[in-house]
Amino acid sequence: MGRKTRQPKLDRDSRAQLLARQKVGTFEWPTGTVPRRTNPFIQVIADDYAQTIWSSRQESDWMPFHREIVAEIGLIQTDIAFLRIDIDEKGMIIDGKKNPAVSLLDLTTKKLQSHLRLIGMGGSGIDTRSMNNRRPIQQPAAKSVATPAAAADDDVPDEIRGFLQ
Amino acid sequence: MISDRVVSAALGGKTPDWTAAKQAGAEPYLALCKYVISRVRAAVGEEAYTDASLLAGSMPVQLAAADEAVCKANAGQKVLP
Repeated sequence: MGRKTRQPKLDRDSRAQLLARQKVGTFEWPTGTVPRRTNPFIQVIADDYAQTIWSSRQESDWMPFHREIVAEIGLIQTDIAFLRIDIDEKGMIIDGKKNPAVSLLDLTTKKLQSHLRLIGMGGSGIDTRSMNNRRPIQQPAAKSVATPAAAADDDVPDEIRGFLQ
Repeated sequence: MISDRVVSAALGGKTPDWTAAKQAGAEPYLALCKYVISRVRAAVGEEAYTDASLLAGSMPVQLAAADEAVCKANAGQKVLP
């Protein structure tokens, strides 16, 4: 009669992470480079986001370094979710001052955009124009500015010269 | 984040008088909008400008309004009510 091997008892956090992994699927977090969050609740959400992005392409379509970026995106999206909750709860203005979460949300969203660009999803996966009424993309302005002061003085059209103080 | 200081730097230390331009009519206002935006775009770079224009509160209200006005004009809509 063989003896049953006993599974080591997991602590609360490890158990939560194990349950999270079972729930969200197979996203394997890269080791070493991306810091894992100690809060298992946050980890669940980040796993969920990362897994959603990871499953949007075939495994073979990803580059090796993309896993790290996707893991970062999971964490960034979690931050955004929590900042939005904070803004919803406390409002944009607290005691006459701007809620610091608004600036953080701004910064974090930019971080997300730059990460999405790194994995080639900046333009195709997410159409940022939808945030502002899908307006047409304007042509880039010609970069002929040597120094802003000199350029601003030189080519100010006559009809608006009076409106610059 | 594009602040008033960035706009002023892009215009060589000058400040646009939006109110006066609006009072002068849609055409001068649109000309001022186009000029200021082209200066700011060139100063901060295309990508940073696009990011800022898409995020609420990332640029001064007047500049956001100017951006909106240029887009409206490009789409053939009325710039001023």
